[in-house]
Amino acid sequence: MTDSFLNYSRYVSIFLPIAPLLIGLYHNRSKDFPYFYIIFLLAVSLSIDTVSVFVLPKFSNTSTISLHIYTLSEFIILALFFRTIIYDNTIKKWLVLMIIAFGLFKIADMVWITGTEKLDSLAITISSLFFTGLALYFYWQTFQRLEVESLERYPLFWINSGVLFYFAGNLITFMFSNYITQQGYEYFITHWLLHNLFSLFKYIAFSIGLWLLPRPQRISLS
Amino acid sequence: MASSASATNISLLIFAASGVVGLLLFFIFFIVYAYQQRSLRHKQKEQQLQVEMKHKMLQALVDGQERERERLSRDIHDSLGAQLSTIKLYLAELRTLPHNPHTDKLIQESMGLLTASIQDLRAISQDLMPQPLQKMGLINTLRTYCQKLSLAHKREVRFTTNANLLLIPDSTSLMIFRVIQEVINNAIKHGDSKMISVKLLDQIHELIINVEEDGIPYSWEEAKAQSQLNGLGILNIETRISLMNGILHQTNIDNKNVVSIKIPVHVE
Repeated sequence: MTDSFLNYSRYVSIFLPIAPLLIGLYHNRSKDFPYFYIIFLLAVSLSIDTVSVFVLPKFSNTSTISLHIYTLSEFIILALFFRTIIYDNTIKKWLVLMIIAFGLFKIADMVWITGTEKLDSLAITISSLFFTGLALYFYWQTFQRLEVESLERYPLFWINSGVLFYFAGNLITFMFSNYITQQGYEYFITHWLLHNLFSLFKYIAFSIGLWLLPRPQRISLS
Repeated sequence: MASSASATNISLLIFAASGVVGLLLFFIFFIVYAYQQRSLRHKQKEQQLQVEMKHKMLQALVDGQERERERLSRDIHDSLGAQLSTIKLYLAELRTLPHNPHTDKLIQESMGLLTASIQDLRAISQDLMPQPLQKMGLINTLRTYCQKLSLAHKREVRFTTNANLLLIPDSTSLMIFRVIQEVINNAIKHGDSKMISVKLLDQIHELIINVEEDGIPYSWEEAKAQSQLNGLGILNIETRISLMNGILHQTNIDNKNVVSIKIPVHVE
């Protein structure tokens, strides 16, 4: 695998959020809050990736700062998303505390622990563990309440599945990222491509979920 | 050397990706399937609860009706019956006093009317709450009931059965008696029949009740739709049969109105 392949993969991964973003913008015209957060996350992901690939290289040798910012933004937006779909009030309160705690940790991580020049594996691992747990909890909540007639037609099921695939995959890949990157450049690329693969699953699941949102109705007065 | 490592990595990646895709698809199918199963079980449980609740409500309704009948029967028998008997005693006493032929005739007629009234009252009281049911059992009570009806309405009400003794709870016996009573009442009131045949067959796991009569053909469904045939009577029959988990069927065969009922019986 060569640098050109890696670059190709990077360019492809930038544009992955475009499809779910367009679907979401078209289907979520009522601006329902849980889906609004997902659309916002897709927009943030697209913006940060674009800046990271096209703008940052002109000013700096490394673009890892954008990854740090993305990890923090992703944590805040997804925690707010789960806050709207989880019914348990105690968990909702804990989510607010977790946002503050993770925010403080991330600043400390950027300034003292990892720095902005390296990949923030520790933060990603913590974030992955957290969202894997939340996604599993959401499955449990759905199974307990049994409010949905048909699970495969339920948008939040697909979005939650996307979150679970992505973060469970990330948890494994980033937990061993230090070891993998030490094995050589080829292994690093494999690791990075696996991460992109999990992103792809996440965006496919998000696209299905947003596609299943009720379509905007055209009201005719005649 | 480098290209060999690349090829290995690509193979590894393709292998890992295929495995992950397979696992994820399996996971999605598994979650959806598990959810459907759980949802189905939940719905079945809910439906069962609804049926049980309906059953309990109907049972309460029927129990209330029976209690009211029992109270009425007791009141008629104990209060009104006793008063009429006292009047009869007074009239008998009057006969011993000096009298003239006119008062004697009036007393005689009053005694006759009173005796008839007391008999009617006892019949109404019996109808409301058949006392012999607990003592004599369902079969003998039905036999006596049909004989009395034959005499009272001057038409043949025939009762046949293959059973000597039915080991069923008193509450079930009373419900079966009420059902047959209501079916016969409908036949007498609306069918204008000359002969009514009541059959009670004791099969191994079920009781079969057949009531046939040769009156004017009618259909319960049509009668219910036209709000005729004392809709409440039919509703009472249906309610009691559903409480016994029975099956009810009404039809016309060879110019006869036939009501057939199957009631499951649990043999322990």
